[in-house]
Amino acid sequence: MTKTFSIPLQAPRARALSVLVYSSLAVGYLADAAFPDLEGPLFALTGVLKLTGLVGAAALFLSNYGQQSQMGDSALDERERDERNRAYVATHQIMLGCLFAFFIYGLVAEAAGLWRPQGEGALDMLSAFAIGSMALPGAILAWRDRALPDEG
Amino acid sequence: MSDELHNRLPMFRAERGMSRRELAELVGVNPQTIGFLERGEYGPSLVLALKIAAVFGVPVETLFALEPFQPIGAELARLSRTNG
Repeated sequence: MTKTFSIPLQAPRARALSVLVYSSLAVGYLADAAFPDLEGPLFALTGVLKLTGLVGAAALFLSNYGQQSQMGDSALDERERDERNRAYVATHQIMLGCLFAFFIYGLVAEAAGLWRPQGEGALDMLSAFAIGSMALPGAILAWRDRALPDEG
Repeated sequence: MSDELHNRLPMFRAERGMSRRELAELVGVNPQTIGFLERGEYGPSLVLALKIAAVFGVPVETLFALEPFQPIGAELARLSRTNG
């Protein structure tokens, strides 16, 4: 099993980090897109949330779970390969679900005259989607990890 | 026939005084995978099952079965009755 650089995270910490990442990304980017004229402390707060989401997602990506999701077949045993593959299937389903929900909301919002992201706001939300997707396989592996602590 | 895979890995490993890590190294998997196998949370491929059986020098069906294994005491009693 090939060793690559990774940030060693126990499952509970990786799970807590994933909650922080996705809540920060959602609140930070949504608030920024919905209220583009924010100023002062609220503007700073959305910036902090977006940065927290970005740095946290990078940490998750570089964690042992994120790296397991990136490793080639030869670096993993058969159970790890199976877990990695199932994490990617779940990632694909979640990403597609979010994209379709976003498009359907856009159609409904246009017809009903509701708020929907425009221009730079939409681009920002796409960035949040890309950042979240980057860390998602690792986050899924952390949430599904059933190894006992004494098993190394 | 049950879909659940039962195994005697912990017993065989304990008899040989072998750690999970040692068995894992012999068959080329992560030690965690041995734990998953022992707890019945993962069904091995045929290749891995055969490798593990080869380590213990027993047929694969001695280690893995679709029906629960009888307790050793009951098995010994059955054998002694069979052998008269």
